[in-house]
Amino acid sequence: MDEITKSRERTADSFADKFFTFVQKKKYTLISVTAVVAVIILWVTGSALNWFNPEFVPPVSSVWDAFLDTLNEGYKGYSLLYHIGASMKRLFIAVAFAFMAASILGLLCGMNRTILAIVDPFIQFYRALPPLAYNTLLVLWLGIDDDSKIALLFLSAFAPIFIQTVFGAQRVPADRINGAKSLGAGRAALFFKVIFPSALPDILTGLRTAVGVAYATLVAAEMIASASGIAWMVLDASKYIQYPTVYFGIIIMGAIAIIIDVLIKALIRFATPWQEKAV
Amino acid sequence: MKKDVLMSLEDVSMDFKQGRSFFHALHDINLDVNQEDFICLLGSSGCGKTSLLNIMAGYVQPTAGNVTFQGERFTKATPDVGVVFQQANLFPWLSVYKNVEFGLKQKKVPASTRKDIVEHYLEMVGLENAADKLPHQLSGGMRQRATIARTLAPNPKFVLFDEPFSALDALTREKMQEHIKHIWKKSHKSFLFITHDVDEALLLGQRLVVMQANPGRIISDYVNPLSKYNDLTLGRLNQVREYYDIREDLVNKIQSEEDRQISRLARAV
Repeated sequence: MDEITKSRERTADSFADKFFTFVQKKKYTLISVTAVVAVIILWVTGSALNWFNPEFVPPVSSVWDAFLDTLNEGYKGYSLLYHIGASMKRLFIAVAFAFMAASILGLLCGMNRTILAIVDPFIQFYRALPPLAYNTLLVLWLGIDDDSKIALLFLSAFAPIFIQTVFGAQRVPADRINGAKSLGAGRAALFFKVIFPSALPDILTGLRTAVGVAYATLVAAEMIASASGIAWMVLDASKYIQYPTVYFGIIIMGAIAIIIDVLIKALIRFATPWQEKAV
Repeated sequence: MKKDVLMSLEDVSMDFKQGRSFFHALHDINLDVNQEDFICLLGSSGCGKTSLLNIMAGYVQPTAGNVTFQGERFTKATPDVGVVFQQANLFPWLSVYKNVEFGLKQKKVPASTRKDIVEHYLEMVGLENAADKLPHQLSGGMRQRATIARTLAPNPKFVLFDEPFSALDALTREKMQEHIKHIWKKSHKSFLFITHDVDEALLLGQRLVVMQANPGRIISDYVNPLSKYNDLTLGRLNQVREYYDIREDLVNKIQSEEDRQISRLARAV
């Protein structure tokens, strides 16, 4: 009997210990989770106690119902997943092309001032423009299909990667390049084996920024002549005053953004393990 | 040209543009590096040591004068002249093993031979157990040892060291000094070792070359009187009877006329 009580005490003790260390370790994650839960609770109680005008802040239940409806029946002829997929496809193609083009051009510009001098004015000129300002031109040139939308996202993703890559290539330590030369590295080896990996952490930081910017541009891209895409769905629903749909659309867009960012952070950690505190 | 001269500098000068005027960094440097030399190059900061190293490594061209290496005009960096920098400049994305292998791959050494060479040099610097680690996982001393292994692996004839131990703590530095002397004795290469540490120079150098600033020039080039003692260590330097005289003489050579005036004034006060 005595033995059993003792051992129970011991397990209880060790469980408390484990819980305590868990809380210690994940302290800031737990604070974040608590903050999110608190806002949801505020929303639920606020709606229940009629704090908000349901026209402006619909109750959680009607947002949830709208979500289930759309999940079952789709939105304007296409399923919810189709809309999400259409947006992700545009985003992925645009960012993939931007990544390849901007990192290669950025490395060349970072190594050669003349090339940079030729390319830089154009990039500085267009990158400050709001995407909506030149979107009509892209539609004029490339048509109303996906091409113009992808081009718009491509342009918005290109500049951040390019600028960060130039910066990364320019700040490769002179000692590292000289050391490689003394080890017999020729031009090609210097480019692929020294300057590219040296700039890789910066290129990936640029990619992370670019995905964020391109994602924000998605709304502009799906604004004109579109009938698909998650951003288009939100815009269209707001036109017809379907606020529950607007709400859950925004929540889905935000959640996708967080998931993409987590994936990119994982990619950065995987691709550049020598950068201890990069992200 | 004498047969055993490896690198030769003739009337080498170096000017840097500073706004509208020129900064005369090196003035009429004449220096012959012989086979199997261990030269310690000393001088106060700003005397042009690093400019001279950059020229001898082939990173920059002198404004005037000639540099020849193995009898031919020397114009750019080559794997025959290795360089160990002040701060370890390992490639942070490569393991220690792959860092040491880098120069061999550039030389297109076949994979089977590469393995033996890399393992030989890792063993030489005592890093055989750290082969798979990334540079950021190593201590400062281990990183500098890995750099030395990487520099020696492609078998350069001439190795330049730019104050390689100045960032290390005293104990590690002492070990590294013994290490480097041992490697030099075994390898029959020529070493040129830049330092501002007088005792380090007396311990390591067979030849001492002293530079002074404004403009950077060589003012003294002589055989280290302590080099005849074979198994000196830093701790036993001061047991040699003539050590203090030799050291004072060297310090006097390094000090410029201005330095001496300042110390005289300090003593007068």
